[in-house]
Amino acid sequence: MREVAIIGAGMIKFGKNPQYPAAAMGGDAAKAALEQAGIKPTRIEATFCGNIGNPPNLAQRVNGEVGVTGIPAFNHENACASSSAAFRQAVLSVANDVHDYVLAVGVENMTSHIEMGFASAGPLVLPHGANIEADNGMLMPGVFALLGSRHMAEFGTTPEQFAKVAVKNHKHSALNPYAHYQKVFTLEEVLESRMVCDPLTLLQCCPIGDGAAAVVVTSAEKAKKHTTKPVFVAASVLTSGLYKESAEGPARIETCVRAANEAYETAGVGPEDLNVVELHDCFSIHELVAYEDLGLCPKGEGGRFIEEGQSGYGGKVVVNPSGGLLCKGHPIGATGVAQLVEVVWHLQGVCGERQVPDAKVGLTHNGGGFGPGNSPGAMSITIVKS
Amino acid sequence: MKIENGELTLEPGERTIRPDIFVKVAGDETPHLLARQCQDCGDISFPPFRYCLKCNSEAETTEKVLSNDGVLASYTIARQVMPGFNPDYILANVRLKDDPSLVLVAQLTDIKVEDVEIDMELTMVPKIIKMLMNGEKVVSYCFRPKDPAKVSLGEGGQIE
Repeated sequence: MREVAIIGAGMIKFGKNPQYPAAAMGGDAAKAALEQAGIKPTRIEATFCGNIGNPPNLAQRVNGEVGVTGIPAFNHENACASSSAAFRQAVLSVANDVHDYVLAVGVENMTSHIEMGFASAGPLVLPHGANIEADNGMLMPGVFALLGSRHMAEFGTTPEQFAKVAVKNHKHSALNPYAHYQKVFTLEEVLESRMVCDPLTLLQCCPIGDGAAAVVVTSAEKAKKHTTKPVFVAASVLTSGLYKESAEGPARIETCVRAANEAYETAGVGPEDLNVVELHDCFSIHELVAYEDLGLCPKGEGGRFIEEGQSGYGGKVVVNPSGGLLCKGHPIGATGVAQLVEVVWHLQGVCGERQVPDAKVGLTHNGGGFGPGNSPGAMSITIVKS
Repeated sequence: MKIENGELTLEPGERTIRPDIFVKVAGDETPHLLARQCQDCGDISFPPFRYCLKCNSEAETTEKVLSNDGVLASYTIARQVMPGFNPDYILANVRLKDDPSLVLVAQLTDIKVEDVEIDMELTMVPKIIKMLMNGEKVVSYCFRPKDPAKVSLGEGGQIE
């Protein structure tokens, strides 16, 4: 297989834009990625698009926005990891010599559903009748509140430690012009915001919003013709849950542990080599548990890791410099590629005030949904190197 | 909804969360949950799966009546809920006695929040947990304390 690289990364500012059509959002992100890559849209040979709730054939519609027609177009749904699935297929198509230049795009317009009178994101994420646990009263914040409550019982983790994740990510987001929210909050403000699912307060839950992101993928060899700063894809792992595995052993998401181990092995790096991580902090609890599952710290020490500032600037590894899903936002289908865009930009050294110094190795962690049953649906870990 | 001699009878306008999940067990006052079990490795699934997802045996699983007993692995209070539910129900992970690798997501019932303790013993009881947009009431499996001293009938946020 050929080595694969990213030569262009672009995204639009995330936020609430019910009247900004999904195709136009995706097209604007794709245009930005193509401009950074310095190649004409007509060089693109295939488009892979992640989305869960907007019109069918979105990849084709995104192509239309940048003036491309008649190429293979693929549409991927994998809940919150939809565009990570799209990216992985894009990588495989280049690695296996099927294509030389492809686009991976993530798009989601969630607020247009609210404008039509539908209840926020609920029906999008956990459709009625699809999952007995959801029909029984399980909610997305509930899933992570249950994980957090167990983590507290096993390891003595505190609500304040979970809240500190939100404080850190809000602080990071203040320097990210692409973030949905760019506002700093104190620990007290996070803890005193409305309780959603104990111990998760509102400011520890990602917002409903809209956004799009795109990357241009090519072979490592061709990449050198287009840029002096190619970002190489060292590992792109996508796996699904093993039935009941997360229910056994300490509080964790087994699918993440397994995907991360595979990614580290493939990339030939370990967690200690990472400079920058964009991690699936849909709720503060998930970030703290993922520190452990990704091996950034030992199991049970996530609370201490955030407490000591190890996941912020000046710590062991900068986690979610973008502000993460909590503050940059989580337009579902956009998230996977948006995480990659942020990490690629750090490796290119173009992040301005929020630049992680000397970033050479980065990781993205993107989980998606449920299945079979209540097992984690998808888990994507991507490792990139400069 | 009526429960008599371990049999669940629905009133007009009521349905269970899934068809055929409650069964009568002779001599028991409470209905039981109907799961499935792998004939090769013994793994129990609920909701029931036709094939074993644990050992991937090619043989179809068979019906297995659960004991209904479990322990509380984790809980939260759902303050902001989906349409049709009463807010502030206690959402729980319940680890079943029949198969400790089987953790159900269910609501606690007949208990005050202040009495909830991780690792407490629980037992299943059917309750109406929500009303759908079409007015239908949904009966599902909830869990209450095994210890009668900790039972507070009517507490827990279910509809009935």
